[in-house]
Amino acid sequence: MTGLTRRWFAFVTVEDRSGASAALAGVFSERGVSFGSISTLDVHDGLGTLSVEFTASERLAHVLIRTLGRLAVARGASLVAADDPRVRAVAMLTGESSGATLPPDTDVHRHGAGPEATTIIAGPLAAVETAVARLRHAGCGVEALTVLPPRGSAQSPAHRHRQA
Amino acid sequence: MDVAVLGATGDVGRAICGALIERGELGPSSRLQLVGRAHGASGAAVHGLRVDLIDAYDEKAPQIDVATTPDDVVADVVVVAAGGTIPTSTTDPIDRDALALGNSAVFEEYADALARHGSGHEVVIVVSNPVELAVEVFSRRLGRHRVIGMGAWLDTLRFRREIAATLGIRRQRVSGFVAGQHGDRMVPLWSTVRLRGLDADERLEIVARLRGDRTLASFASEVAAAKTRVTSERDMTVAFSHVDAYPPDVQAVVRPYLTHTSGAKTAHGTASATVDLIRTVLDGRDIVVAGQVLLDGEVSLGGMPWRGVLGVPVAVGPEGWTRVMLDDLASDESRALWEVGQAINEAIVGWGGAP
Repeated sequence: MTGLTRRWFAFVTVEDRSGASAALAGVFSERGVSFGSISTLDVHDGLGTLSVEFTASERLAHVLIRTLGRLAVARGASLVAADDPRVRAVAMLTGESSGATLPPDTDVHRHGAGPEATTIIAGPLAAVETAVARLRHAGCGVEALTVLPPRGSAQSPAHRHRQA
Repeated sequence: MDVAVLGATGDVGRAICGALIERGELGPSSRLQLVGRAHGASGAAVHGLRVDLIDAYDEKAPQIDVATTPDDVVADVVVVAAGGTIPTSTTDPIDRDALALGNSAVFEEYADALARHGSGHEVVIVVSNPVELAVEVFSRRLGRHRVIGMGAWLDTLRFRREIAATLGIRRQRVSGFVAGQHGDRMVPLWSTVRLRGLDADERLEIVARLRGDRTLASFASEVAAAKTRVTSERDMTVAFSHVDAYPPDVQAVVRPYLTHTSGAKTAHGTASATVDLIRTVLDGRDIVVAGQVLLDGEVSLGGMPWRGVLGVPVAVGPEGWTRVMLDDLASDESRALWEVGQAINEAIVGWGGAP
């Protein structure tokens, strides 16, 4: 990344119908921006929330989020910088993790022992990414790492349910 | 790439939207934004237009979006077709001052919103009139290289077509530009006319025959006389046949004037020229067209660097216009452009803009 570009997450609530992901992907590809990651969060009552990681300048990031918000399938879109401490993440790993020291601001849940053990880590994105890096180094396999919108944001499923 | 059409439900706006889709200029992942006014008739009609376009073009339509406030305009290319239009009745004089007064606030509102919320890279193509005022308003707020008035391009295409029709060839074999102000005060640049496949001597002979021994000094009075003659004729068939008797540059003004006042308006020709410009921007290639732009000394008129809005040939690409492509002009062309430039600057000051 240059000084101009930053890492961002777009949280986009879309109608649960065919073509929604393609429309969203088109907005990025038309502007030459590739995803770092994309994942589906909650899907409920005909709506789903997608989390999209990408790298761009602040100007381009705002263009993308305004354009995403204009899609016919979109019901809302918000933009959060990856270094915003309100951005949360949850990760699931397999393998023995009890020997590793993990950041104190993560919630860690371990099930089982040895190679079949499962570890679930939740917390601020930066802390979860640090924990995942350490466990990967310790030999654990990373099953998934999902980024969640800040609590209470328009794209937070909990918030959306409260509104409903 | 996404295109927004401000004033999408007007005659020209509708024709632009239809032509954009019909010609396949917007792919399925692109978005066409139809913009109307929340508290006007267009605020409701724009939703209906969306459905109508999908009905007509579902197989190849881009995503079609509706916006009813200036703050919601989001696109790579913004076409300004909003605001009042010139009346079609010949009994109503063309009052550009009244048109400017009514449309100025519309231009400012959209320009301010784009300046606040835009990407900083939108290219604005102005169709609305007075095109020179709109170009001035948007240029001051967004940066002048991102704003192009399409009036000079429309006049250019008409000029080429009239030359082509007189010679019995197709328009694509004729090049050459019209500069100046859109409409009656356009400046046909005969010195720029080229005919594909002809040597310079052959071309000069043909141009001299087409033009006669006239210069641009008499152009305004010729246009005025021609307009009076054709509009005094009640039979439209006869009126249009009168137009055929004039030289191509006079025809280029009078024929669309008669078309507009006939009640048919000129929506399709205007839309086609606009879509040409949009395609140029979307293509990513620099192409020379004519357009109204805000000059800051790129050309000299009357012996001094010219500042103000004027129609000139420009290189247009994905970021807007980059260079003025005006070679040495004939003396009558240079003088006519200077006079028109002065008139435009004075008019814009009168309409509340900066010269």
